Amino acid sequence: MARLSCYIYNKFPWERRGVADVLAIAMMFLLMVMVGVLLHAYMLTPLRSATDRQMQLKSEYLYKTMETAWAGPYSKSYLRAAADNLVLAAPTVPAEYLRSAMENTLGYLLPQDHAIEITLTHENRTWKLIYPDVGPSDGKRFSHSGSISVIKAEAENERTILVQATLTLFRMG
Amino acid sequence: MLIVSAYRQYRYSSEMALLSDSTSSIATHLALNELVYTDATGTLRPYVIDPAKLPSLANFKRTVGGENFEFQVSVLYMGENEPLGPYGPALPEEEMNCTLVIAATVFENDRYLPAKIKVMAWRA
Repeated sequence: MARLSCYIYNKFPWERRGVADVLAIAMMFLLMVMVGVLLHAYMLTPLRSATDRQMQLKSEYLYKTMETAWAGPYSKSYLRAAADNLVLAAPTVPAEYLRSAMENTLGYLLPQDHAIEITLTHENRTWKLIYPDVGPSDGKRFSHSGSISVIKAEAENERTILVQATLTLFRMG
Repeated sequence: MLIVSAYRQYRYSSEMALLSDSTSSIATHLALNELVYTDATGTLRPYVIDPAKLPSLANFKRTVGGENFEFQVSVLYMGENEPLGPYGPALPEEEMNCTLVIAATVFENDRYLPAKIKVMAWRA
């Protein structure tokens, strides 16, 4: 048997070339398929990243809008009114009205299928609003933070308190 | 064919990403510079839009990252069906475009009101 294969090997050298050619073509085909699969797998990556950047931008503008737009008929912004509610005993905007007005405004401003979480903290106190009130989400979250200053009148002087505010935008599950 | 198709899709996706970033850049420039509200003391109020500046916006072409884009802009008021605008040229037929809607505050009737800015951009 070994003699026979040796005979074919020497007698018909083009048979060797045939195998090598088939192997080379097969390798090239495999390479092409792999490149195609990789391109297909990664082709949406730039678009996904761009969408994430837009969502981050939207969360920043939502934060700034809540920081500057006035809450209903009051001349205080939504976030300032919420900070007042957190640290002052008698805030200008009543708590129930503020939540309702905020939810109404967020209902208009929020991107479709997205929810928002606004958290204000000072020392060990927290003010939180989640709208719409959905359960926890595993998706990507886009946050923007800042601080709101509140002037608190005390016995003989005034004290400025800094309240930390964070707005988080996320897709509903 | 598989590779050519995948490459075309990749180019399309990259083109969309570039258009998306350019639209964000145009919207940010509008909200922080060109349409920004100046209060009575002459202080600029970033993120607050003065809608009165919208009709006087003359140029709707922008160069972003060395590429030319055109855009339309409109302001959508909360509780109103009719937007202010759109201002800018009409979108050419079958042109790839990107629309971005961001929250903003508008100063109107001596009040800071929540609103939305809608920017639609395409390659010039």
